[in-house]
Amino acid sequence: MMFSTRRRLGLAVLILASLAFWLVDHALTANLRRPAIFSGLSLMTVVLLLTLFNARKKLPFLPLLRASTWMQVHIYAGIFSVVLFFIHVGPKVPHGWLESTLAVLFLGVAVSGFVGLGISRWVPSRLTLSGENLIFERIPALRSAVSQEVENVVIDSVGQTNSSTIADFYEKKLRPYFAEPRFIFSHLVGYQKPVLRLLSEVEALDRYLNPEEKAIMTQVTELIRAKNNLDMQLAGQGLLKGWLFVHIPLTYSMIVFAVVHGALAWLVH
Amino acid sequence: MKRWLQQFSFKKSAYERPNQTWVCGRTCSGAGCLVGPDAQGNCRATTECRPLRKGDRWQCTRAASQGGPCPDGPLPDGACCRTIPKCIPLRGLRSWRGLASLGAFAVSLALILFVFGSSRRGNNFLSPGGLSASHAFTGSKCSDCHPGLEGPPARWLTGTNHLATDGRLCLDCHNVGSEPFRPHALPEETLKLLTEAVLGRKPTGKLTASLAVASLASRRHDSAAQQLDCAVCHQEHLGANHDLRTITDMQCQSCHSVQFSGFAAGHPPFPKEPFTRRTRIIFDHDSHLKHHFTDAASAPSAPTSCVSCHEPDLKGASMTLKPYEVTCAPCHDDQIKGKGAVKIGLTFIGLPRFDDRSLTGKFGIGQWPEDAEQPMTPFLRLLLAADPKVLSAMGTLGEADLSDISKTDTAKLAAAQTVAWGIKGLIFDVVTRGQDELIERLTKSLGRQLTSHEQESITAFITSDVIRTAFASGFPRLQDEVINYRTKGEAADTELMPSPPLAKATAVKTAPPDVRVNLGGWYSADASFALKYRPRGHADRFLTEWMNLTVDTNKTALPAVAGALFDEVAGAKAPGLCAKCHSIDSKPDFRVNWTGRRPDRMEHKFTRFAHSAHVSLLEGQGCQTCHSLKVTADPDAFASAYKPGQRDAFIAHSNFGGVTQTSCASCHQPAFVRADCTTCHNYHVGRFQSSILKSAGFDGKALAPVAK
Amino acid sequence: MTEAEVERLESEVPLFRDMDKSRFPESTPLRGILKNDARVRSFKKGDIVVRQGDYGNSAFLILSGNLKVVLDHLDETLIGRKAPQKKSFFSALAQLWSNPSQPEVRSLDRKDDGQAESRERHDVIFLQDVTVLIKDKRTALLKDGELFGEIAALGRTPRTSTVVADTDAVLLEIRWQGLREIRLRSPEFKENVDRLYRERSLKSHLRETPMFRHLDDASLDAVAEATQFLTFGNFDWHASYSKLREASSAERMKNEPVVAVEGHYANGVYLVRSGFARLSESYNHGELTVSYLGRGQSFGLDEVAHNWRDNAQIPFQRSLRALGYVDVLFVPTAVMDRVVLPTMPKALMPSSPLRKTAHAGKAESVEEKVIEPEMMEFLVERRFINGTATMIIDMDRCTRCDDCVRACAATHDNNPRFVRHGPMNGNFMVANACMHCQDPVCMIGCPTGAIHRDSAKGSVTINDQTCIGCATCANSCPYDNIQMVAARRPSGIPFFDEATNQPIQKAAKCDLCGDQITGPACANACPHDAMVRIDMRDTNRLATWLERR
Repeated sequence: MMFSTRRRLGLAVLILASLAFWLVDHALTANLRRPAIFSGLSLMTVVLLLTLFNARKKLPFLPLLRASTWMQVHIYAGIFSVVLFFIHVGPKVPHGWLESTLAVLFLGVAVSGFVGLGISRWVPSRLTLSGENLIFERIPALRSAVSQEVENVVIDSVGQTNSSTIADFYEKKLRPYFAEPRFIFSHLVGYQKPVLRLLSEVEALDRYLNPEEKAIMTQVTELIRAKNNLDMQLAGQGLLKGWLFVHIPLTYSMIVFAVVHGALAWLVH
Repeated sequence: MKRWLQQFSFKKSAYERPNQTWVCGRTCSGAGCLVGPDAQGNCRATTECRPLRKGDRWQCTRAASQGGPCPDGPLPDGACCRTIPKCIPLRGLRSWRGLASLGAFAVSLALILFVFGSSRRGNNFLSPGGLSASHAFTGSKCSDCHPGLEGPPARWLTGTNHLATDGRLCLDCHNVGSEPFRPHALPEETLKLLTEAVLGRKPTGKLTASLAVASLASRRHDSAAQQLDCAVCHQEHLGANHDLRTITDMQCQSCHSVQFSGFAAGHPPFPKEPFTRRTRIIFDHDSHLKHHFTDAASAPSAPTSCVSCHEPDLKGASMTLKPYEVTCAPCHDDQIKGKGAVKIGLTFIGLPRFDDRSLTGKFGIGQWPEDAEQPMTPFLRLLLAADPKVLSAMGTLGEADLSDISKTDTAKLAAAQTVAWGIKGLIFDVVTRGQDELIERLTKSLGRQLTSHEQESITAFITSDVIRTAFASGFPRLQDEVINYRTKGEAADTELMPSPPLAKATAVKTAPPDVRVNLGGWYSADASFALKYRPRGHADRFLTEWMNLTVDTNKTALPAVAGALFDEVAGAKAPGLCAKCHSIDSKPDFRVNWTGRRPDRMEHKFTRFAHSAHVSLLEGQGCQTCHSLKVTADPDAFASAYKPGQRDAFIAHSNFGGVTQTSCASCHQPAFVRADCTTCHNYHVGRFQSSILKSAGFDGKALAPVAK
Repeated sequence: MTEAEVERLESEVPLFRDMDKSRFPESTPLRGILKNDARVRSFKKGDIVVRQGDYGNSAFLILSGNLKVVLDHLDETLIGRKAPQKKSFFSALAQLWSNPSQPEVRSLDRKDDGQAESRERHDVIFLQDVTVLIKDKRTALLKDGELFGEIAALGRTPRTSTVVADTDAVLLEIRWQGLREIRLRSPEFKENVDRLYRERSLKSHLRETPMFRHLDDASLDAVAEATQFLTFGNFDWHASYSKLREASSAERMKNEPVVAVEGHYANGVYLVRSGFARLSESYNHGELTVSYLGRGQSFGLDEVAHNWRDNAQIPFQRSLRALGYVDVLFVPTAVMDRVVLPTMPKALMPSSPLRKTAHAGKAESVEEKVIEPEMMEFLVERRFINGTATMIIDMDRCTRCDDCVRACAATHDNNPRFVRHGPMNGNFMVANACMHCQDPVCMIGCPTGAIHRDSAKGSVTINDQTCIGCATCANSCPYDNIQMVAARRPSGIPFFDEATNQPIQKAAKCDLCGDQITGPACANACPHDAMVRIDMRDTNRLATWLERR
């Protein structure tokens, strides 16, 4: 199935389901039949379905449909849960500590989910374009290798060229650049200026260099670009992994509150 | 030329294992060791190789991938010379995420458990929202309304009480009648009747889509005997400003068999004849407005508009009549006082004529006025009936003519004798004992205790002197005769007493006896041997109370006598002409309608209408905008509902046509003026005092200081 | 095999006795080949020697006894083929808690890891009533001195028919490595093999080819008669490939043996028997790779047909080059013109191959999807076309969540069996996961045969028990898809070889989740539709996947 077809299908199902539940809620409200119990149980079921996605990921050895199918269900069920949430809560702001906390947690989970979806769809292609694609866990090791390599190149250059231009520049600008991740925030927002400035400084150095040194500097420039890509990959992949640090813990909290809320509502209704 | 950092060869790039909890602490520097941390996250790095003994030499066995045998070689004791420094293993990213999730879970759970363990906080924390302002006096404890939620939350589950709200607790403060949990607070039978009445009705308008969908989950198929808890409609915990009475039209119709979309779209039509009850005051608007007030005398009294006679009540809800003095008195006062009437006074006690030729000897009745010609009035019969002997004698006699009794009919003679002596005894007793005697006798005859108001009213402050004076000439020796009769059983022989001569009217300026009491009161005409009462005008207490007492004869001990009495006082020509204007009902209950309809604070009708709120909107036709005078061909139609003996209040011919729905709907429509159900309709209907009065009991308990 | 046995074979079996031993280099004498790559096996009457559909790794020479070839198709279950051993639902679920927490743990008492089929255990398939089974089938007799199974062994293709021992028989089993070596060194042997191929399989092979399907037996015989066997390139192509990996593409292409050249006279039709060939056309100063041909595909028909139809003669419109190694059948134009084309149905007749534009070389039918040239170049250049389960990741969709890697680990005792990195073209990465090649060069040189083709599915698997950790396969794999891992005790401490005191190494790679009930867990686990395991022979599916929106 093409993605566009799938998207259309998903949206159609979402809209139909939302409409159906809204109508049921309307009918129950109009007949003084405790619609909150219905929408609440539905919401609980949908949330359960949403959390089952995580369980599916832990059971890759069972024939439980493809994870991508689950992901689609997760996305549309997630949107649907927000619809259900507003049907459940109504236009009013929730009252009471428990309910307010639960609502904030739910919205936190939902918003982080939408943000995460955006990140998941937007960041990968930027990473692909940025340069060599790297395994996140290996970035620190590669960075240390690159910084070691650039240091070696620079130290060698001093002996080879009998000039300290490159070494001075390295001490002043490049060592701190290679020592640790830099311009992470700029990478996150796609802002190129810091690294471009560094590269222009490298270029400005050109007038003090003889051909031999220029060759070395070309090598160094390549390493700067490689390091830049390392930072970009770190930032992008960090973002891709980081949003789940909000989404998942909040979900666990929310479930605790939701279960208490649900149990109370069921017992007291 | 791009610089590539990765190498894919298996020698350079081993499997990446993001599934492991722990990673070597030196991974970041690119020098992770081969063994890696153990399952608990401890570094297991030892040496770079395990030297192998070849003969008497130790050989380095470092793998080629790690650089092959090292230049230094193993130590003499066979240990590797290159010890790997220990690292501090790090958690993997996913492990951190797992810890964060676990932490969030634990914190939330701890918070919840803490809340569950403590009573006060639990109540505050778990409340789903603030109570409405009117219920805010409670709300400090869940168990105020949820009996099951007593104590700390942890105990709720183990308690025996139901955890939901209990509507019965609402009834501690609120009263909606005897069937509070039934739909409309109506008894099941009433509800069934009402339902059956409308079942055939087709909704006139089209249902809106919204209502059509809603009707799928309608409650109308639920048992007619269903109970509705207060909380079904009155939903709490929605904040201080929430109006608990909020309800939508659709919710109102939830149970209804015939549903419709709105007041202007499908509301059942208003009745053509809205006034199914005849008016309490018999007032023919038609004839009054058309035929009366035409002569010069009454013209000035003519009303100028409806408000000449009608005014809204204090709440502005219903229209009431202005007082008699303002409305009817100008024309009808004299009539009531008897001006020009045939019968002005009402005979209370009159002496009948007995057959003096037959009642002789042992049937003697002693002295008896020669001119006594009065009938036995119901009042007299009632007073006599207090004596059982006389009562049975009256029974024996029935309607026999006392003035002509057969000599041979000894039973009747004896009965007549007893009655005669009874009358004499009555007069004697009243003269000697006064009002108390009257009250005692009436209490007995009517069969119930009389209130002081009734006592005052039905005796009209009569004095013994009036009675003595009325009968003195007829019974000159009354005292001796009665004493002898009562103590010795001697019945003196009949002796007719002539009447004293009347004063000559021409000699001095005299007035007829009834004129002498123009303001009303007791009197007797000379030589008539009748004690009479002239009503003192409108709302005479004597008449009204006697009518009240006897309108329901079944409530009296002697229905026949009481009935006769009622006919006497309520007759068309009876003095005071009460029944001319005050209708008498036996249905729905026995009553004489002394007033027009008055608002009843206990009554909660299904429909309400605030007249005063609408008055200012009327133009041109005034009240007739809604209440149009009927044009009837039959001028007697109105009166036909009040024919003598027609006492069913629900046979009516109103002067007015029905209120038309369009006149309401012209304003009450969506987006203009409220047109929802509760604009005009009450849910809780019936007669009840809606607020329960609470005050400290007189046992002093509630007055004592509350022990803290 | 003992020296004595080798001695006896070399002197007594006519085939070897007559060989010119001097043609064999000193490093690999015939004797050595026989010693290492052959063994004598005895079969009882009724034993199944080879089974139709199995992936054969060896050929058989009959030393004594008679065998029967079943020419008709036999029901798979009748010939004892069981559905591949999968985990039960519960044992699959049990992986949730039973997987070791340490990497590369091997249990000490494990007899069989359940993943790889042990050669020893399944060598002889015995069926109780095999004679009844084949009673109604057409059979052919094989007598002693005859060679069989060589086609499957040399082409690394499935066995085309079942062979059953008709009497008790003794066979010499020669592994394909040895077979190839002998074929290379001995022209008589090659001739013999080719003759056998011509006799046994050529006609059925030709008949499977659409362009010959309409021919009657006589015509087909004529075609078979004229068909030439051609081999291009080096069988051990992976070695030279590795060497040329860093070279420019033009240089690499120059090193590819040319089968047919664009602009040359269309001398006939080439059918690919095994291996791969690159189809390219000149584009300004370069060569544009249009497609690649694999087993069963043909080259040149368009031009030959055009020339037969039309007076205006055209040369080959494209070039065909061997990618590493290719076996082709060549049918000359004369035979085509005389026998094949005159009777060819209209529907089969190809349209004119003349290019409409420089680019749109391929005759495109509506449903045929085209792979972008750059991508095509990438796949061909890197020989990814070899894969039957190549892992391709769309890096524009991949969120680097590693769900695939962890799914892989969860299904392989806590060990990932691929690395989520690899060469990229545009946004597509071919990750370092075993592609289960059509031509698995990794199998060359495995001393124990631990790495083998799953007889049922054709996936390449390693028997962990018999792997001695020599790393030959890992070094041979041109795609860096085999890793060497140190086997560990459950505690996580490696096993050490007592002889060397070095950790015991095992080769490890993707087994396509052969024992899992889910199929490849990696692609199933991808939440973002970023990954596919795809058979590169199915270009249409590949193109569709690459183009999906």
